[in-house]
Amino acid sequence: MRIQVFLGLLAGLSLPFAVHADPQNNGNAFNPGIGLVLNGTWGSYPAAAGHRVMPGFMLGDNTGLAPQGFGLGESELDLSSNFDNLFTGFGAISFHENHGQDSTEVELAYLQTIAMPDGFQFTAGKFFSSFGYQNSRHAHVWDFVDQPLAYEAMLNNQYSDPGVQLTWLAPTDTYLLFGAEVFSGDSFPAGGAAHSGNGANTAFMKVSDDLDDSNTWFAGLSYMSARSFDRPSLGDPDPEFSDQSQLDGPFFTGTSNITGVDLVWKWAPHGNFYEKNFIFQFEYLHRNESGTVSPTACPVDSGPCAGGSLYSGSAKGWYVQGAYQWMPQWRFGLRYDRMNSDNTVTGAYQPVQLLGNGFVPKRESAMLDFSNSEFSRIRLQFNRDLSGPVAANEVFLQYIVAMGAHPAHTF
Amino acid sequence: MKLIKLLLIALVASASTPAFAELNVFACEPHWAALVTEIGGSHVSITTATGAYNDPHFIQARPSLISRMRSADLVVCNGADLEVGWLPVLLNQGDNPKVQPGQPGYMDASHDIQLLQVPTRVDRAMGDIHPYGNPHFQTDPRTIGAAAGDLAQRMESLDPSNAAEYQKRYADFKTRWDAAIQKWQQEAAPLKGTKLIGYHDGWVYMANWLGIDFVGFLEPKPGIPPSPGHLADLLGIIKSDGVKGIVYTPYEDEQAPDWLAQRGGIPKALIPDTVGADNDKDLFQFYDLMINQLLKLQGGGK
Repeated sequence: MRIQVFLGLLAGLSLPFAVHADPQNNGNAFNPGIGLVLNGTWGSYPAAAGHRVMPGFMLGDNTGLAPQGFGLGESELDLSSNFDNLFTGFGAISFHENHGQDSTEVELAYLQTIAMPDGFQFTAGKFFSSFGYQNSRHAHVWDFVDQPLAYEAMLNNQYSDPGVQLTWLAPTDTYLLFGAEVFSGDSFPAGGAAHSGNGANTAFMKVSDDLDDSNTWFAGLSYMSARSFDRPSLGDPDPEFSDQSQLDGPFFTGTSNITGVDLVWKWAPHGNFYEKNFIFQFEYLHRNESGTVSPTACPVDSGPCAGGSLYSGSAKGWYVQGAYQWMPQWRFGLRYDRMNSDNTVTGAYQPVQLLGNGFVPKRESAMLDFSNSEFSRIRLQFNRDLSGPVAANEVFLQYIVAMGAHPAHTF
Repeated sequence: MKLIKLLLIALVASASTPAFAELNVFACEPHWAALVTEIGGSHVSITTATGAYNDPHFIQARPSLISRMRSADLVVCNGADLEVGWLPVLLNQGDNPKVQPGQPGYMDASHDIQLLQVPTRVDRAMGDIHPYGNPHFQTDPRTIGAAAGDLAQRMESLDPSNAAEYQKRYADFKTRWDAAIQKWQQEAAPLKGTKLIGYHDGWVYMANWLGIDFVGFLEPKPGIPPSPGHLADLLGIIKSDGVKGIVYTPYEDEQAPDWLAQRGGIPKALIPDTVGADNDKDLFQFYDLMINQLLKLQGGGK
């Protein structure tokens, strides 16, 4: 019944649908749901912002801002359902539009156990890694239009990959969760390692409790180790923006180890989030990278290839942000991003991306958003972006609307 | 297949063997915590997810609640999608097989109740409506009585060692409850036909029980905050319909009720929709408070 209603809504009809709801079937409230989230943006910024250049950092292909003007953002079709009494599942197909090219991609597709004893939970498929706090959050619940710089530079915006996850929730009153993940390793910061079956692993621990009925804190410690073989590290390869002389490289072969610390604080008087609330969020990411960089992809997986250089680098990135809802529907937020890097490249090939020692990429952001209901939000955001050699002012207008079934939000 | 089932049953059983006779109950709302206490006495340990001061639609899926969900033997909620914004996350991440929907350890109390306002059409343009019917049924004490038997049975089967006591306490509660409902109905008799305005459309069960007539709500549509234009419309209704008062809960902003009460020249009353907002320690005191606040609107009450 419910499916038909949602399919009807999906068909784009705004006509109401007759529902013969049976109170005895309330358990079905947790069964199959189809939802569509539209997340559109309009942006105004220098054209070069489309191709992120961050001195000192090699970047993945999902970095930089969307093209100026109107864009589809991260619109997605979500499917969620219990498969049976043991497994539940979630799928998300996302829609992109880039320079007139429409594309769809499987953003998420995973199954998860719901009946393992003793607090164990197993997940398999393609999913957002639970590394850090911000990584597993869907784009439509972000407090800002874009991801923090540290996420953009070190995790290619948001790390997801096919893999498995095992978590254990301790039997304590204080929330204490331990977990580990094994990924195929096709996504930045890993790359090209999937042929050996495993290119990225993570381990994480999360702890949280309520201070009183108005305050809740949450802290996490995460670690990721990723292996790369000939990983393209140029950034967004969009030819409209990229410097043609850099199109071929650098390619990175080696390991990236990232440690992350996160701290979140949520406040709402008497826990009454609807009227008023404040969310504070801080994350610090530290990455060590070592291996080789080369101007062209190497044919074999052994040492630096012809024309390559030895590379080792250490990078730090952090951000702090706050979002304050001072009355129902209206929120105001501030964010500050800061990065730095220390790279050593030994050899004739000196990729321009790594020549950033001493440069400190940073960014200041402010946003204002209005939510007419829990299913619609309009946001205005301004960035003073000093992450590259040229300072940029960036303005965004964004809408996020959700129709149909909508999975409940995690903390 | 059979072997797997047996293995799973053994695993679940080993995980749920009580070390001492205590039933861990996760109550979504305080009125269920109060009812569990009536039936369970000192044999239960209760976590309550929401309070009289927060809107049960909109709490955060706090990790501390996930931990309590993990160790729960029984989950009791209004259901009917009232908790749809957070309960599914707690059930999923709490990862406790005993309390998943369909298990005896998961009680959706709306199954015991004839829901009102079941919409014949569903469209989110109508606001944040509930497709299964209005879930705020605890404003009618008869619904608590209707769910109490179900709750007692579940507690008896989940904790057989104390079943006799649960049965006895339930019977005792039921007698006192039926008498109290009679008393409240007598006290509230003058309220019959009274016209009121509410904040959120969460009073239909109370209205139905006491014969009160809600002629409007501050929210133009469920979940959408009051707007100046809508308040002006309500002002017109107050004048034309002879509205006696405005009713709002502790988790609703009092600015709009204040404004409307002043402009309309009628009283407003803060009426909690669950236990624990004031000095009310149990279900009996909660409904005493509700009736008293309603009577005050008519110049009665204490």
